[in-house]
Amino acid sequence: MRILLGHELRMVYRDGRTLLLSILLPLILVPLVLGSLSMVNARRQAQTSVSYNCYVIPVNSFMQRIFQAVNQVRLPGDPAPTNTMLLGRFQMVLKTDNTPEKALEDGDVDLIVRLVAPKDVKPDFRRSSGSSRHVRRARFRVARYPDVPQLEVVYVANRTRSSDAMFQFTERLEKVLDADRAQALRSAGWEGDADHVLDVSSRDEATPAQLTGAQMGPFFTLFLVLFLVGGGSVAALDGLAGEKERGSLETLLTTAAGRPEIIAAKQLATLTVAVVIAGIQLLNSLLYLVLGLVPTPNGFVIDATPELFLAMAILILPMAAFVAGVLTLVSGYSSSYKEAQVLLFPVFAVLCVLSMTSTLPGLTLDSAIVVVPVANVSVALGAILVGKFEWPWLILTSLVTIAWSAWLARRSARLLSDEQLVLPSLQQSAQEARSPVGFGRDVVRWYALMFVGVLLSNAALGTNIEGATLFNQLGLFLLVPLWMVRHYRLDPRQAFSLRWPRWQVWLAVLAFIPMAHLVGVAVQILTGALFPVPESFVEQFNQLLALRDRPAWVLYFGLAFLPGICEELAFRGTLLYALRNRAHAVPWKVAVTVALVFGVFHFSLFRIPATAFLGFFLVLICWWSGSILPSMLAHMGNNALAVWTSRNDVQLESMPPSAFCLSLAGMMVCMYVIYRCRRDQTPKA
Amino acid sequence: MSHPVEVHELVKTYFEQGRGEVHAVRGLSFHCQEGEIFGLLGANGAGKTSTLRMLSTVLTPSAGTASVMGHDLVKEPASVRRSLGFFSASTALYPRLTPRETLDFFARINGFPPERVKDRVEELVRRIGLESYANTRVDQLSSGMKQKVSIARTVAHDPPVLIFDEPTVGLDVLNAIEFHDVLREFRGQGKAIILSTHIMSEAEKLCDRIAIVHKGRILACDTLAALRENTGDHYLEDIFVRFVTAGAE
Repeated sequence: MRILLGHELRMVYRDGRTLLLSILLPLILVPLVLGSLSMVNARRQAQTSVSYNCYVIPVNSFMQRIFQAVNQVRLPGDPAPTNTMLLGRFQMVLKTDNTPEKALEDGDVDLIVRLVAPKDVKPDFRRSSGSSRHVRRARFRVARYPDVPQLEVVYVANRTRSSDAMFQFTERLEKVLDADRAQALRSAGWEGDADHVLDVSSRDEATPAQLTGAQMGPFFTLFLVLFLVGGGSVAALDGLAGEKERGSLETLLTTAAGRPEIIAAKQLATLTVAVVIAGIQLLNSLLYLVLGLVPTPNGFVIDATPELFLAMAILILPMAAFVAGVLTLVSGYSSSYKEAQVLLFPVFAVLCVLSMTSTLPGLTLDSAIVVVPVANVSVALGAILVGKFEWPWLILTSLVTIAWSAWLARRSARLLSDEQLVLPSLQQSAQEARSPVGFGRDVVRWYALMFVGVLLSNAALGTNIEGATLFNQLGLFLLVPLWMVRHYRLDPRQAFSLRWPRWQVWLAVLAFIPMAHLVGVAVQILTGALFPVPESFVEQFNQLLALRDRPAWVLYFGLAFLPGICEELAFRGTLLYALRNRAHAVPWKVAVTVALVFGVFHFSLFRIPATAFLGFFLVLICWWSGSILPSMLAHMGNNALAVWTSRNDVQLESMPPSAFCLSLAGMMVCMYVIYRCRRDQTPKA
Repeated sequence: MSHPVEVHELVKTYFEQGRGEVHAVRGLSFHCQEGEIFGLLGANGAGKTSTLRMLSTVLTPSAGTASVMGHDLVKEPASVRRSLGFFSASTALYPRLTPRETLDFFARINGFPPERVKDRVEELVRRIGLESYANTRVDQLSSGMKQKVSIARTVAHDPPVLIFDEPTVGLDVLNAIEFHDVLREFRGQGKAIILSTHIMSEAEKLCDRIAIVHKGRILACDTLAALRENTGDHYLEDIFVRFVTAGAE
């Protein structure tokens, strides 16, 4: 073991990539990032002394008075007026070469301040349909009555200067309006000062260290994961996938070293490298702050007590072991370095999402989150950084993470017994690459890439729901499986389970839909109890389903019909086909895997259990009936019900528990009927 | 008396996706004695490599038994591996180690007495003529030199059994001849050597006994002289073709 570990570490430090990517690059990057952040802050500070050009419509005495008053407002932190600001911070522009909107987009003016006549005042804040998507309008009522005008401030959110101008102008405008109200009261004969009617004061009880902890907490685990994966991935990927590719793993397997020892040494080497590199980066960051090479943010205080260090050690070390285990497993599962890199990206994305768990408000360790690796450490670190040391829960978090790490090590050791994975030469030859054989080998890679595609499309088209839905459903879930069938020369009837089921199955599925939907709601409620989800998340999701400004058919088509076809082809079609045709495939494991993948593709952490639950039963329906058509119907029906209940404000959550229990029983009866009607599903290539 | 290598009715069946069961080895039996080079002669895909991988415990037999120096393949895999040196075209070296470090690592990991490792490494470096390159990284060596390091790596822990799978593939004539000399030397040291090859002349020159393997079965197993006598053919190539053709019929 000692010889193996020494050998592994020697291989790592002799790899130039490790030194470059994991040590040298972050050494430069950390101060660069910290320095950039300071520069951004400094620039923002400097912006406060800048004057802004505001196009004013119309130019009348009212607007001139508003501008004069706004320019006279002094806020805490405002610098002394400079020569460039003799005319005031907000300068009125009376004429532009282009239209005001064009001038705003081009940066010739920073704001358009318009007085809207009472008859044109709209009741709510809405984005203008006629202008660029970045041009936004904020309206400020100058009075509460309908017959008074409205002041509209138009800005472009994607231009920092314009955004800043809007915030600074409106902040000062509120002060002006307050003064106007006080003046109106005085004119009406009231002698008092409006500010003295109710004196509101606030007092911050948090210590500077707690404030620093609250700011750092949500991102601390993310940075740790970034460092651990960045450092450990090179060692882990080279250790197994790289060795397989070079052929040196087979050499090692013919030595007296046992497979568990080989895996343990590799995992320990990855852990050592990851911990050392993460430690170097943290010390490096602290050193830059202590030496003053990077300016410390205002109020930055770390309460470095032994208690804090102890808690961090019992949390971070097991998490590092877990990350090392994940990396070793990814590497062990891959047949080449390239494949490992492809698989690493979605794994990395999932780790990052988990590490951000502490950003969810209201989530504490005394919930089911304590059993979710990385997420539990994220929540725990968030708590201890603000001075909350709940030792029993911290120790439980540590033990749970250690248990997960041990399980991963065991899984990795078993991978070395998989002859197909260990010896690339046993894998399919080049002429088999475009065949069902090659498909089985490549399927994980394609779904990993699809996941990346969904991730990117959601990031790029997040606010454009129609665009994201069409891209994901048609571009990914439909086209990619169709392409796979064509590329690997699969029989579409088998890959997509295209056959007509027995008539009893249709009836059972029709009955299954409402009951499964209700049970799904129950699963969602239970998930919420175990993993408390902020109301805003649920609201956001329900709004997506309800989108009242879209016609009903658009929602039913985009959220029920398309997923019913496309997602079924992708998950109960090609993915299920590939997994069930694998050597020694265990049916329940296949069903659970497909269900989990289906859940993970739906992103939101709080939706995964409910989605995976439905996905599991859809797999069973497809598998037992021998046809994808009933699972398509079930999927469409479930989604359509979700849209309908959201649009009609039907609160299924408030139904009595007996309704959920009856639905579960009914659902099981439906599944039994489908099971009784099952068809022979012997895997065929 | 048992032989260093004994193989009895060894079977290997793979399950390949889309192809179902693949019978790579179908009940192979043979033995190899001390100071003997036993040849496995067969075309590509005959089952030679699968057999040797089972002997080195990289693959698990589907059925049958085998032992190396009295250690059962399945029950005592670590002892089996400690008793043999395995060389094949697919067993690569570590590119970031020097030949000296490579030999040191493989001697230690295979349980060679630590106090004797240094002397053993120097002995091998001298024997294979690696003095000038002993501290050069393996990835900077020529393929001929790498081959030499690989052979030295195989015998670093001085195992009583050596397995060579297609060792001269890709070697030029001079390097191949040098390898043959090394192999004879190992035989002289009393090692039991199993040599898998599809090169007839190599088998003719080196092997004391030859097993002709085809589609996972041994069609004939004897000395070259006995094979000649039984078939009436002189050249091993003709003998091979005769058995394989008869086996196919």
